[in-house]
Amino acid sequence: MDLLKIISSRRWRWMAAIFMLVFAGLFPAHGYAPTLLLGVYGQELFFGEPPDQAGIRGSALLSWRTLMGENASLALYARSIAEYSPLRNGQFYDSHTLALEALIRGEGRRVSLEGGLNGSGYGTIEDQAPYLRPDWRIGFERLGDDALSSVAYSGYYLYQPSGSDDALFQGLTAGLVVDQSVRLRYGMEVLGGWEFWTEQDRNDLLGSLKASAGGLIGYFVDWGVAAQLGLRWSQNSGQRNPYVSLDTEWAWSPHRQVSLELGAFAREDLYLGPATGVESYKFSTGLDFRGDWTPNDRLYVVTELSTACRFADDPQENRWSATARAGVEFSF
Amino acid sequence: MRRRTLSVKRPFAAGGIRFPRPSFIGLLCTALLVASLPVCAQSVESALARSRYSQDHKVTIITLFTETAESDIPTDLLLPKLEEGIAKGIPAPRVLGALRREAENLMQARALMLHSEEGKRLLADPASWARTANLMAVGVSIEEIEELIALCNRRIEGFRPATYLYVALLEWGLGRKPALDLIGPLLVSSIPPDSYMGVMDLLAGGRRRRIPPEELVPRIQRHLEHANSIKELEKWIY
Repeated sequence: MDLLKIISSRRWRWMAAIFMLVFAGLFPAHGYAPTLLLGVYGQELFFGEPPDQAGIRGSALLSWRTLMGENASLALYARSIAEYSPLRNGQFYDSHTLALEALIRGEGRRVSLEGGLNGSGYGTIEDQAPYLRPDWRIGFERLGDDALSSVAYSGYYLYQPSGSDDALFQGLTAGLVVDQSVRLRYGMEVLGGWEFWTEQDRNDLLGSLKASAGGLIGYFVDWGVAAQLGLRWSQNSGQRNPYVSLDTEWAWSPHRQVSLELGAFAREDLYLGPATGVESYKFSTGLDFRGDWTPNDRLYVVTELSTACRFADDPQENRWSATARAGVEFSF
Repeated sequence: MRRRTLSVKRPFAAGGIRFPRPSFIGLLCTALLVASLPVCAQSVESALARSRYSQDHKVTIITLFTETAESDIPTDLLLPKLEEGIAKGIPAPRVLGALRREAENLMQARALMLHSEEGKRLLADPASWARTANLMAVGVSIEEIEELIALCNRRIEGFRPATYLYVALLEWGLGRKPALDLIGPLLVSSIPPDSYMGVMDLLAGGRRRRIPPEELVPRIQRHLEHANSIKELEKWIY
């Protein structure tokens, strides 16, 4: 596989090793202790079709921030997940994330430079083909007493060796968050972007408006809700895809040994022809739950449950899935 | 039904059910006691007027308020407990017991606060005084309260939010020392006191990232000097 060859090539490994050494050696005296986490889980996935899958999942996470003086920092986040279903033809899935962030602050302002690399060598369990997706972001934030305004340029390039949907995205975001109290904050974000599908000579324009709110309830409950209204407009074909989505999250940690998180989402997509009305629609909704318990801040017993379903005018697009996962994570 | 039963057992004057004759002397006593109470007497009386407590209990409650007022304990500090008891329909003996304990805690809190200059300054604020008494009631030790009072010497208005955070941190499972290590720098930072509760969210967020609270506390301490909001802190500690 091309992607695997690239990743396993000697040149690539040398570059990665040099990068890690430089990064690790830059400011070791100011670095926080890195978080290194390994997890092993058993999982059962339920679908309407194909048959259910039992499998195992392994994950590794490295997170580290190092300070450069008092007003700048570098952060590294790396995560790999591998899933194996021995009962279903030994299927293997993987996904990997590497993210770097440089943060610089001045008087009442903050600049962040972010770069990352996401990818999968064997595809993901969500039916995503092998891919490599570098992304980048430059953000500028102005910090007021009760408000934070921001502008950012961001982009990604999606490379899929086995498909023809490679795409380059670039976008601008402007946002405002009003943060008068830890009990309630709310904000608005506008995104405008352009996506160029390199192998299809296709140009899409994207725009969205997102409103969010969140805060604390008492000392131990954190909540958030976000509603988004967006549009993808394919310039070449004239097709349009307006959508509206709602996401909520709720987290409760009544004691340092316990954490519970609950999330719910709903999204409605409409597909409009160039001169016609609604050609098709999709409605997706789902729930996610994650709970964990630790006796000693090192070993975590984790349970995850999630369910999602999709309704569409095309019966072939109707589907549902449920996942139950349980395992342990160890933090070194 | 209950009133009818009472009316049978206890003959009322022509004035009606609200004026039972045996309580007339009690009423007189109440009026005299209320007249002798300063400032908040009317509040005590109006609170009791809303209750169904017997006249004897009302007299006892007013006597208690009179005694505490004579001990220089502001009636305002006890009144909320009385009103809460009445609103919840708690029997008078239990309310009386709670009021006595509250008065005792307020006296002990005052004695404790008079030990230090910071405490004397806090004592001028009745809400801080009541908060100190409340800390005693929930079982925070004298040494811890003294330490919290001392930490507040540069930010008196931060005392109550800081102590609420302290109790929440202990309840969450953080040790006494790291909790105090966190609250000291917090009180000298430019984080607004009404945002102190956000520190609890930082610890819970760190836990979700698998960073033990004891590792997160020094990171928060380090950045408190430069951050003026909890959101700003969040950017630097994970």
